Amino acid sequence: MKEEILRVENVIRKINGITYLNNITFQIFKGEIMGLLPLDNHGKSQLIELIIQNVPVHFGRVYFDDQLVNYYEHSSMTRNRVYLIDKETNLIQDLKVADNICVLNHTFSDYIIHEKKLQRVAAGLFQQLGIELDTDQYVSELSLLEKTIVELVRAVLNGAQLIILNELSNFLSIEELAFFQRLLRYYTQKGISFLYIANHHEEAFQICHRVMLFEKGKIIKIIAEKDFSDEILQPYILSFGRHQVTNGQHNQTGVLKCQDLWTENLKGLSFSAKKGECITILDMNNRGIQDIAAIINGFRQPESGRIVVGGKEISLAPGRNLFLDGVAYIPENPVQESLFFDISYLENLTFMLERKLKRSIIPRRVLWGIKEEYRPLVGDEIEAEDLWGLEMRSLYNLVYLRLLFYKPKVVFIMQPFSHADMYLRRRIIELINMVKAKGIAVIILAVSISDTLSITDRLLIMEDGKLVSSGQRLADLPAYVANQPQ
Amino acid sequence: MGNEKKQSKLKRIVAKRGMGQVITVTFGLVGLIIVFSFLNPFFLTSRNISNLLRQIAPTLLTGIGQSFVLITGNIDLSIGSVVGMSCMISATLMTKGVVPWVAVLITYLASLLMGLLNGKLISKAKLPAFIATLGTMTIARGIAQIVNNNYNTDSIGEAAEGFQQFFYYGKTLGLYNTIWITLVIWLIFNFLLSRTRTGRHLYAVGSNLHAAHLSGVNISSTITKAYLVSAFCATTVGLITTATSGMGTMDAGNGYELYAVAASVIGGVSTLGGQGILLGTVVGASIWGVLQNGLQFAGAPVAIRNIVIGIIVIITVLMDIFVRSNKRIGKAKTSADGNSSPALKHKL
Repeated sequence: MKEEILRVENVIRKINGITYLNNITFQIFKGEIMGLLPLDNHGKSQLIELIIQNVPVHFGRVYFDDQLVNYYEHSSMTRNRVYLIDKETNLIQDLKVADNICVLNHTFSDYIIHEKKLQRVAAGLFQQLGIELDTDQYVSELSLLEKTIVELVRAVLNGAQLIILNELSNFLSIEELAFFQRLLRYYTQKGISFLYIANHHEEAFQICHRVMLFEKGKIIKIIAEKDFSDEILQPYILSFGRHQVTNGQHNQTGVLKCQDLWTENLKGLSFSAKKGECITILDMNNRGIQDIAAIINGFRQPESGRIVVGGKEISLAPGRNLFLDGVAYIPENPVQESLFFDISYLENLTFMLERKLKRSIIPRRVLWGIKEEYRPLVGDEIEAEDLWGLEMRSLYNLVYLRLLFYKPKVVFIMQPFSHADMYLRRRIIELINMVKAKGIAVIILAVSISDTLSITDRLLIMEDGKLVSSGQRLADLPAYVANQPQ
Repeated sequence: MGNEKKQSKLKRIVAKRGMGQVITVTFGLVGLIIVFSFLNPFFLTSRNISNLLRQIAPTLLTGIGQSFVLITGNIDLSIGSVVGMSCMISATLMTKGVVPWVAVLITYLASLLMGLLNGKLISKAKLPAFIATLGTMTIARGIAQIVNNNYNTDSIGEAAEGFQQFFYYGKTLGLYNTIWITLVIWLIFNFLLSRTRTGRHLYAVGSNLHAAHLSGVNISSTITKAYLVSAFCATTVGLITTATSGMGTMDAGNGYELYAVAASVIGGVSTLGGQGILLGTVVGASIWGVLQNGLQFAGAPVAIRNIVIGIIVIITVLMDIFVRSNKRIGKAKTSADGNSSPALKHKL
């Protein structure tokens, strides 16, 4: 009989009257990779918190390693031997790998540090995995994959019996993910269990032993490995379909030309985009797209190459904001990184209006006009005094409506579907389609295909900073890309 | 083989975080010494060097304390006032006939309480370090004033001669005791910072508070330790000041907290936390001392000296920000969201 590491029984968790976990029941066995497929994000972070720490629950029981650790009458707030790995690393960037693994560890008891000894221990742990990693390096010098591996090794050394992996495909490229999944299989043989949270069933089906569907704080289905198929999920998931390329788009004039861009991670990148065209640049190694973003944001100047927007070459001097040249950028977490929560919805929408109108004082009638123009699209939220309390969908609306308002010639979007649940992903697709319909060229920078094929007119695949292939049809793509979740 | 080992050891030392800036500012220090020695031949005499080292000692000691605090991502504005407070407490006690070494002990205890208060206000009461230490700065200065009824003390007298010899006037192996005291304190705290678990915890707290907490680091205790070190160093400077002047002065240590920040930052300790080594603080304090001493010899008025030193501090902080932002871009490029190392690449 299989041993359980975690059993959650009929747990109801309410916070401020809102039910985040609604009668949740499931168990995870030792050495098992359990998938979690959240159809929406309601209750997801509360579930993660419940597993990590014995927080108060309204009803139900939680058993960890056969011990009752949390129940409705008593929640001790203690932490279980659970480790969370996601993009926000829990490593100390300014310390070395060996320090992170050995010293910042509950089991480390030496007071005096012997660096060589630490490095020997840490290097030994990586050697067991067949990985050569310089443990004398500072964590800040590592790639995201390396950081993720260090976190995994550290978690195991810290005695974690269950490791939660939160949306790995948001920050690991296709190749990196495949490599990391091999490590997960290795550790399952050692009895370590994983809760693998993924946004796409194809990704979860590749690695998990079972998969739970999670919606509105409830587990609506648990699927065993033998039943893994697209058909079984049909009743539960939205199908976005694949976008068909229209010939009309290709008759449009080119609005963006990137010519022979060279940086440390871009090796002569050249491509062009037409008005209203959507291009996805899929970075197989997770290298070049960060350089593209850095150039667009003025953080980095290319060694050579030029960008032409609307027939005019734009300056790529460091510190220059290309927004004024008609190039917009939407970061990976646009809500956190591009909105101002303490000012009103309308002020957010019209934030750069004075630049657009080239006047320092905006008459109230202009603002009133804008408000009424956007009211049908936004609804009464246009009256919101601040952004606190607005739903994620409304905040994403604001991010993309700003584009419609300012009408840049081209927009670069970094991983648009990152952290978005299924319903939000559908809304993002609608919003990007609205942007395209306005004639704005859309360049999506991605490490996984995710849902981008639903809106992409052309897919450019980048490997080691070079564009290696492109295609409009899935059949045109290399197998390792075509097999990824869509 | 031996040569290779030496090379790899050298490489490791150079690769140590913060060592780059230390090497850069060391070149700057050497340059300053060369310039001042040309401007005034007396500058490089053994007598001036000995005096210069003794002059650097208080800045270095307060710099050590401030570096500990800065590494945790905080700041200690109370250092100067603690210098004044310990100067007044020790001198007052000695003038009242308390045995000097008992007075020294009481002074250390009183000042460490101030460090403890700083640490707890910041780590437990969650007060911003700037505000908390601004408050304790005023409190400590108030204590310095109140301890002898708003007067500087009289001379600490002949009974305290041993105390004065130990802290300032005496020499051991041809070097002033002040220099030896500073050296010993630097060695102890450098060991604590670079070779112990506490040192790693200090860096961890300054680098990522949340991650440090999740890693089992006791945040409150770690921050408090940094402030205790700072208070200890400030007290030592206060005692040196008492020994120097032979009396307690209420405004002793005025502005020392800023000299301490300058010494730390010039030496590569980041004001953002998580980075810096005490070797850098030595170089930073030395630059500070050499500039003061050299400009004085060059006949520069005090106002010009202050302007020059201020400009150098700003330039150094700007360099720190520039280097850090470049690194961040580099990280974005090569790692974070980037690149696999060659070590891993062939495995993928």
